[in-house]
Amino acid sequence: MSLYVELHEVSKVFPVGSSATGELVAAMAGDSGQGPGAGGKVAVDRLTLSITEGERLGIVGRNGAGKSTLLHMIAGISEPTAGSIRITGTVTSIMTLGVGLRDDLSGRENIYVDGEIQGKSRTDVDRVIDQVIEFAELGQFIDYPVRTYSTGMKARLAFAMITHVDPEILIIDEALSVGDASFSLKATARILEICARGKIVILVSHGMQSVREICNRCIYMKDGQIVMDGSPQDVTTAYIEEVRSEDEAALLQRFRAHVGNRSRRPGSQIRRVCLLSGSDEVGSLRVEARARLRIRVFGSHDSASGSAVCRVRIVRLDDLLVFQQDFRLADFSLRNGEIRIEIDFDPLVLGAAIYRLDAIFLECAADDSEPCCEHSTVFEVFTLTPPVGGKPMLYYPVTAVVQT
Amino acid sequence: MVQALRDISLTVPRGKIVGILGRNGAGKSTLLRLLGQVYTPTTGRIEVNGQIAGLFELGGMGNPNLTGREYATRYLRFMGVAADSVLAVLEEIADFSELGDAFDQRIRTYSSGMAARLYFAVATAYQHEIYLIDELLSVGDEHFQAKCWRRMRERLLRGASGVLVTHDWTAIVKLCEQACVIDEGRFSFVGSSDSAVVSYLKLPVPKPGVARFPASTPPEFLLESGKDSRIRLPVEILEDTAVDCAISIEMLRIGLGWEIVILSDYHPIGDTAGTYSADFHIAALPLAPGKYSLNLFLTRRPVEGERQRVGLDCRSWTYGNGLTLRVEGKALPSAVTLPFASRSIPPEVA
Repeated sequence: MSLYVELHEVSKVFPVGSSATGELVAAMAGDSGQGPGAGGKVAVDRLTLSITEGERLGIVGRNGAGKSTLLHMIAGISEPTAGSIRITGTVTSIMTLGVGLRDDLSGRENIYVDGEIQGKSRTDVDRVIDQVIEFAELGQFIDYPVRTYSTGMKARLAFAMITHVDPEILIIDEALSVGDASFSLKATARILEICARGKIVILVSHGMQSVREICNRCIYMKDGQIVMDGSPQDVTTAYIEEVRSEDEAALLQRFRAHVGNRSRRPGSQIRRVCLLSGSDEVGSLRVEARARLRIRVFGSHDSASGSAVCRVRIVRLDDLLVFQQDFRLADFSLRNGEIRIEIDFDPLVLGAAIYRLDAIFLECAADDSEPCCEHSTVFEVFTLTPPVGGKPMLYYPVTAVVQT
Repeated sequence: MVQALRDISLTVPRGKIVGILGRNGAGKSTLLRLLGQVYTPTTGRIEVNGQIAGLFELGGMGNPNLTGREYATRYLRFMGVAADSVLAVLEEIADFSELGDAFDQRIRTYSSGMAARLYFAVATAYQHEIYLIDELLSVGDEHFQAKCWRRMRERLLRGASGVLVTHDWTAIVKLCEQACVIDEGRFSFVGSSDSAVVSYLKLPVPKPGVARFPASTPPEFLLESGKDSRIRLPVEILEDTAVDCAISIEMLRIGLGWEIVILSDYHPIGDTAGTYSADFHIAALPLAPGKYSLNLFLTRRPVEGERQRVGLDCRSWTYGNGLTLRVEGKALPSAVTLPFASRSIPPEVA
């Protein structure tokens, strides 16, 4: 019979309430059958999904999107609040690593105990135990209690144990992120081998690369629902893009709290700072990388004739100062005393990131000079074509000429 | 008997985080547990002066039936945080962990990522004197990781010390000035963290049978900040092959960060065997004076449909054979500068 996993309109609602007794009381009162929206936290929301033999399904999504809850239900660790789950074949799961290992038994003993739980005979286990031990790279530690193991060692043992019992439906939650590069390579190869035998693999990961390497189908979960289902390449790309824009919107929002305009002395003020990207004449805070950027500062200062300057600084979100320049106010004053400065970056070579732009009027260019007034705003440099091979601080043109 | 560690000597100065780089089973966790007084050493002695916050084995004291708030309260009490400041710290934890309403729900309803966020937020909410960190910063998504970095830096700046145990070398160069490489229970290298990375990675340099940067490649270039610059590289193509070359200029601020500043595209060098000279031009060099790492990459030109470039030769600090780029000139207030023009805005512009 062919293997499959089928979820139909599956929901999981966690009761809200902080005390352990709350749920107990509810259960005793026969009140456990809450439907979605009945005042609980909906972790998975009427989700329908069918996975067939040979599929290696990747699940991506932000923290709290319901990925782990979904896996727990497929693995039978928790029951859905509503909906049905039909599975043929036995499900083996590597959840939070090392769970299921018995601390006081040795690695070897754990392998036997686990084999028994999986319904294998001692001879079955004897046949594979050397391979398991070798795969786990535990050396002499295999005969020491598991409590003496490091997290990585536990992870390797758990992984080795599970993948050697020839699982039919294998569920992996972030397991590959533990362990060093060489072990994760080995683990990846091992998973691909299992898949090649026509089994089902379900993988939850924050590592988009491993999803692309291992899976042949991928779903993107958000608020307990599937928002995209397709090829790992397409889905992970869409996911990364969306996470990035959400993050930046959130960061921009948070950074905006620090934006402000302050005059510390009557007679000195910055009225407005605007950013014009490309041929934009209105101004925005989203600036395209490698395009022209003009920054305009409008203000007034009562003693603009002397040594007073406008200091313009660009600071990256992580506090790296990437640009600082002083402009003598006298050079930018109109006859009516207004100060109007345009700084033209053509093109802007800053890498994609969020930056703060400070404009400060100072009596003189000395570092310890007290600001007369200051204005801060934030802007984001974005690109749709990021460079291959790294995320450089600058998108700075480098040309090459070759001679023989 | 297994000897997990032997003859380890380590001094962590106040205000520094020392990195311990090692592969699985090298003894990292044992070392951290010794420092955290989970184990006692068989021989030798450990002196600790200060209060330890162990970030290792997260949730070790967690009962999954506690809510996030209850767990945090219990932890803070255990660490001896004064009762009148607990409330404020709790608010801070709720905010940092971004758990929202889930902070008041039981930990067993959390996803692994949510639990990790809680544990990190709790363990670092309070300024401890010593942090023991085990791989921790590999948890969560990119946005949360960036927050974790800022938090650890902040703790460091306020005088915390610690040990970071990991197999992630980028974490070591970002947080530690000094690092040790641990292998089979011994330190195989002790020194600056960039040298430790080289010793740890032992990257195999591609066999330069097809094309290479010859021995005559200068180990150091000297350029002037703000001036039009040229980096002249000799390249030898030994077998008829289409060969491309790229360069990168990286800023390696040990203990603060590592970052690519300028990254060139791949430029074609030649298709046939011969000796070539490639001039990479950078107009108005935007770098502040200082020392940079210059890295060179030589690859086969990918044919249609090929997604990864095949490396032919490489010079990079991560290989231990990188070049130095020294930039001279007038000091800049900023790390880099940007080419610009300025003008007064005419009155007719609103």
